[in-house]
Amino acid sequence: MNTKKMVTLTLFSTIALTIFILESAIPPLVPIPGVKLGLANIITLFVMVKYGDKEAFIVLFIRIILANIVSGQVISLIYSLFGGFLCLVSMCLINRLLHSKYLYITSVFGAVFHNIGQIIAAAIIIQSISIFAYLPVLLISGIITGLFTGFCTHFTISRLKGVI
Amino acid sequence: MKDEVLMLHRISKQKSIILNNARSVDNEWVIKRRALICCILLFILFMVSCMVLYFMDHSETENYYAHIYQNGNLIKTIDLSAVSQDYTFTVTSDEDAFNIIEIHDKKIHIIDSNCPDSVCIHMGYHNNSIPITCLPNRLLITVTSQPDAENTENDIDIIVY
Repeated sequence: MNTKKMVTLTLFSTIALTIFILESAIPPLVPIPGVKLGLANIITLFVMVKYGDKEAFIVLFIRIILANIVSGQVISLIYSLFGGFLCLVSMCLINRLLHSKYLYITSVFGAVFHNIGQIIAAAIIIQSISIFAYLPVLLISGIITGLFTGFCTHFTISRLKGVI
Repeated sequence: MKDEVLMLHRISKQKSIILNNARSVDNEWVIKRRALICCILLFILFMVSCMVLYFMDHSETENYYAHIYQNGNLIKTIDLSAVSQDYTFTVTSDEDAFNIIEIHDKKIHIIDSNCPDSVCIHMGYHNNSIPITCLPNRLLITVTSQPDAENTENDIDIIVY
């Protein structure tokens, strides 16, 4: 990996970290844990489409670790790692199937699997099956926010074609 | 010799151009079909979630038993129908994290907590569909109709050979 690529990926990690921290300052709209605008997935999807899967994994990993250190809780590291890893794997698969077209479908799958990953992590930590009662609300919110982030990523890529 | 090598190189380049064009034209319809399948899957998922939400029992419960789990361990069982007067108590997890739970009018809810997002306070009183949780403090409150906890089948009481 040359220096230019490393610096570009670092800048993307910083942007994703900033978006994540700003977004966690928004008060929750629905009183269900885990419903949020997953705006940091815009950066993950952007890096995946422009550079590749490994670079997207690096950016995601750095963002999750730094965001949880900055917010000051180790317990949310497990939730975020599960959710982020499942999100990345699903987005890689769908991206490979669709050849980087129809980005909103990829990001909807990413958001849905992110929420499923967080619920599974919560079920492991709390050791109770009854937490899966949150799953329908989280699926619906994941589909809606995934559509939004997918459109954001689509417009970002189409507007930044010659620049980055 | 050099001419033959150049000619072979040019032929292989033209062959790869033709193959690439054929592959991209063929893939356009295949990608559209895959995208349609994904859309239909997501639509079905959306509809199923909506139906499950619609048919879940959202009523508030009364006269049941509340179980309070902290870190996966049952720490308290409260018979809500036998509570004659409202009271509050505090549940602490490690690292100075607390939740204050109040039983008011035979219903249970969380009043105050020092978790960062305070979603648990806005969950309100318990209803039949979802349990009350504070995920940063690993707290879970479920209300069932039996006085025994629901996780006892995981514990093995005795093994006889």
